[in-house]
Amino acid sequence: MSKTRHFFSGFSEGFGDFGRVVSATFNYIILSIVYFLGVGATVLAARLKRKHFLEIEPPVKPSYFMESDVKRKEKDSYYRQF
Amino acid sequence: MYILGLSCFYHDSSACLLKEGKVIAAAQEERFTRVKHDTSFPLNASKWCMESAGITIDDVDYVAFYEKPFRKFERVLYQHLESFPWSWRMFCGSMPSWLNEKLRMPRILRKKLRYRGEVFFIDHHMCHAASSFLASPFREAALLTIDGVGEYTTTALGHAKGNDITLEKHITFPHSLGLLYSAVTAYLGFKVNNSEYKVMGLSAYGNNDRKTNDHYRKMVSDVIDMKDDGSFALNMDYFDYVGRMRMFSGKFVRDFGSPRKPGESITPRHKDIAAAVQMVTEDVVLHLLGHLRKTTGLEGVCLAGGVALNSVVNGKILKGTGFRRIFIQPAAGDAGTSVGAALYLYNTILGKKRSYVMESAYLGPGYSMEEIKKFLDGNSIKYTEFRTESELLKKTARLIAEDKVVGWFQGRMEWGPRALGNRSILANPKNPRMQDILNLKVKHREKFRPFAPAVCADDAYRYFECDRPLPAPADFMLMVYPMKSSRKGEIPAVVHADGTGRLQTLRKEQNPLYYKLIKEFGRLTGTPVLINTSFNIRGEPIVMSPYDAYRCMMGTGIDYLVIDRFLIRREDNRREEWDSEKYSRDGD
Repeated sequence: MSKTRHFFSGFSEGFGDFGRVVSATFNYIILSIVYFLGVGATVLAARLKRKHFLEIEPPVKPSYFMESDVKRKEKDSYYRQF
Repeated sequence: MYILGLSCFYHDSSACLLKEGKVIAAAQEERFTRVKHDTSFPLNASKWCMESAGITIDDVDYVAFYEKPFRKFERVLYQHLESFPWSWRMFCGSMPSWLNEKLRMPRILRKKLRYRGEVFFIDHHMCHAASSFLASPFREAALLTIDGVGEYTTTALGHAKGNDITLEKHITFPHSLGLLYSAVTAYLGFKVNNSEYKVMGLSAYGNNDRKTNDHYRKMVSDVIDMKDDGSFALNMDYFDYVGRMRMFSGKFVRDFGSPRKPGESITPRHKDIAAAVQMVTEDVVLHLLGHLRKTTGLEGVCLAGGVALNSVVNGKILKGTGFRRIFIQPAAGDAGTSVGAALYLYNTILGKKRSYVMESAYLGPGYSMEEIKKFLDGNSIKYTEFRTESELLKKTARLIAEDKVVGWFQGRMEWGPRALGNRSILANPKNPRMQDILNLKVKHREKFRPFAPAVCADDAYRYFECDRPLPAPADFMLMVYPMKSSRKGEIPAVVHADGTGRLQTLRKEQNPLYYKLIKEFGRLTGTPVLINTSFNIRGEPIVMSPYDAYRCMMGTGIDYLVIDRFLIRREDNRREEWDSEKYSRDGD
């Protein structure tokens, strides 16, 4: 009885691991396609227009502080995830 | 009204429960899962919070979450766009977690907690600010939040009055003091988001002279551009963290030398680089606070964010900035944002009156005497039971005075990364060899890391050159102060290389038993100071339950465990099945 249980628990564990490897491999392939087509195309367009998404090199100025939006927010704005 | 505050999926996930605006329970998920800095959804911590209050999820009125996930996701996508094609591996590695977890918070709450009520998403740095100010005794204060990165913000300044918090200025990613510190942590062969405190400890051994430390001069001239108001920008040629799987770049290596690999010996160059980044951090924080003091004119300041755990900087703030009062809550890093989110929702969004001050850190799980006795008897553990509190105190103080290493497990677990006398290992600071003994028997940690002294608030000035009045963060082991020269010889085991100590001060009302123990040790030896180090095996979180504590003792060289009213001697018990050393992991 315990041998059978041991076999099935090992089998299900191994099968689970196999499933995870397959899933990770497919994720990697699909995400690579998304990355090179989706992100790549956006980058190409952005570089042609010389657009930057982050201020990697801020212009030299007397202060690097940015002013924050200090307006009081409505309660509803906190329901949003953005 | 009950509010559940949550923080997760980055590092140090946590949950807290507010009842009518008061934090009644708070804990990090790592303590339950035993995975250090656990990032997973804080299911165990949430369930414990509700159980401890005797409620179910149906009784929770609101959930407050510690960030705006879609804004953060936007920043992550921008990072990939900026660093294409080098961010390919990072993209493939991080996207599944974003798509399955981080962007699906309401669904996860429904699935894991069966919660279907309202969820509030609050800006990360606002949560930091709220976690400090709304838990502070101040009615009005200046605010500084400073960490690695939230959604976009890395540093924010503002002020708060009553229930209202205004963050007026900020600095955005990738310009981050926290990430600069983390990059140097990685460069020195330590683990990012885990071992920054090791760099802080190591810095005391380096050259702390700004004029002669070449690495410091290089950093301020080439790596960071700091303005008079404390605002700063990093030269990103030195860093790779925007889109690659490593923190520092080839240019950093060319200019500062080859990085240290984990486990390699530490050279004077490494110590000087640690000192350099510590000095840069001090320069920036003190300049920011000086500017804040000047612009707000306020006397009190609240700090939060991972950088606010830098106790060496904190100890210099009141002397160096003009502020007269300071508050930092014990979990100043990301774990603390669950408290911030919940308090911000209650006090600021819902406009309820403030009624809470975080005066002690004992907000985690506790165990009754019956539960502990049941555990001991159930596992055939040999123990003796103290009949009176006085007997317990006398015996424990005597054991410590005899240079025994004592595990001390009492009451509710601490909130935040420090053990503050309820899940602590205590030892004799008078023995100059005690640091080696502790390292040999229990901690196995790097020799350069100091042990912390615990002292009653009324004795603190006898041993340390503390600020007056003693600031609250010292109660949470968040301030480093110079030790009085005349006392260094008396407690050699807790004097750091630069003559300072990261002390924990203790007021009687916070933890009467621990307070009396320190006093009893003082009566016995003439020195009311103890070594207090966290009760854990290297690489594991601090113990939470009697099981964790007993397992830790049996696998290490802790001589005695005082758990509630019970005394357990390691040598009286069988070790085999409790050998926790095999679970010990390198915490680099």
